[in-house]
Order: sequence, then C-alpha cells, then structure tokens
Amino acid sequence: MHILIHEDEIAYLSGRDGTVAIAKTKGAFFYLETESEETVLFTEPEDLMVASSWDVGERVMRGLACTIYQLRELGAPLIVLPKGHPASVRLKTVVSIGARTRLDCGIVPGTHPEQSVLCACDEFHEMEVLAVPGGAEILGDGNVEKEFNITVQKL
Amino acid sequence: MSHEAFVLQSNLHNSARNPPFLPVFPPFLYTQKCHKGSGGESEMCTVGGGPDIGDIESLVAKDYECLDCKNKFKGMGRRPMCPSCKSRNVKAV
Repeated sequence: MHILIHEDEIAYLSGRDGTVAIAKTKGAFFYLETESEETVLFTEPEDLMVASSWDVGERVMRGLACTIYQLRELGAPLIVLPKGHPASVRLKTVVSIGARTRLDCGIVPGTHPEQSVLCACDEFHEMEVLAVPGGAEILGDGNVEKEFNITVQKL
Repeated sequence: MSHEAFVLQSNLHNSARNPPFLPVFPPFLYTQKCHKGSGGESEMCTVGGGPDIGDIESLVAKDYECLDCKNKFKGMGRRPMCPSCKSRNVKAV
C-alpha cells in the first residue's frame, strides 16, 4: 500500500495497541551519540524516519510528531543508551531512519546489525516500511488499509 | 551497587508490582515480546531490561575529513556532508 507523504507531512498508522509515524528525512543528517563517540548518519531526501510508540490516541501522535520534529528540524542528537541501561524501559518512542524499516517485536540481541529493525507492537509485526518517491510503501501480510487507521497531517 | 544488580532489582520491582499471571521481564530472557505494563503504562520492547537497539559500534561508519574546514568526523551513508560547515567537499580518511 502506498502512502503519499510530502516533506512537511507526517503519516500515522494507528492500530489497536500501537502507533507508527512516518516522515521524510528531507536529506537531513542525524547525530548518533554513544558514551564514547559520535557518528553522523547521512540520508537521502526520500529516506524515511519511522517512529513507533506503544500506545494510541492524540497524545501519542503528538509525542511521535515531537520526536520526529526534534530530530529532523532541531537537529537533536539520538542518544544511544548502553544495553541494559535502566532508562531503556522508560522510553516512549523508538526511531528508525533509512530507506527500509522492518517492524518487529521478537528481537534477539545482536541478530539485527542491519539496523533496520524497529520495535513495534504485535499488530505491526513483520510489516515493512519502504521509502519510495513521494511517500512510503507499506508491505505486510494483512490488509493495511483495513487494519489501521491511516492519517496524514502537517508536521 | 553494580549496574547489573540495579537492572535485576528493577525487574524484581516489576515482578512484585505485576499480578502473577502477567508476564514480567526476567533479566535473563533474550527474546521478549512487547506488552503493556501492568498499570496500563507503555513499555517498549525489552531485552533483558531495555529495548535492543543493536550494537552501534558495529555500524559501518567511516572516518571523514572536511577539506574546507578540516573538521574530522565519523559518518555513514551515501552522501556524506561536513556536519560543521555543511560542505560536501569531504574525503574518507
């Protein structure tokens, strides 16, 4: 299923338990910060930012929009917590940036070095979000249009 | 208290809060399904206490130098740009 997303827009896929937000990177670069070093992630204009949250509703949609806005428009760095850090369980959104994101919920440490796997709830499991000219292509087993409420808004 | 001990205690705290029939986050589990917290609060996927974001040190990043401002940085992606002066006149070193 194709979703048209302009550069100033954000698309939401809302399900029963979770929400996924999708926006263009606009070719921006992003800072990934670990304890010891900084890596700059460069993107293509059509690449996507995919943010996932474990809840639904207006409050969550605003939170996802804020996350994407901070990263893309304000240049806020992505802080990478060490594995097992106690703050990890407090996170409300997780983000993947690139041309392809696979949404998954059964994650095994060290088995997805491709960095394109994003935590999401069961209903999004195995769904893929691909960057295509003008928007995003959503691939999945089920009927995306029937299973999710899809809205596109100005960011 | 060591870091590991803190994580373990944090999980034990969850265990005490949750009714026994609800799954908790045992720190030794490596594969974990996402689920809602017992209080209805959101919890992201956890793998032994936190979401698995992968091993960022293993990312294929290169060292670059900006030929305009001499800034050195580590980057990944097809179209590197100096994050300092925004110049694309950079080279891998």
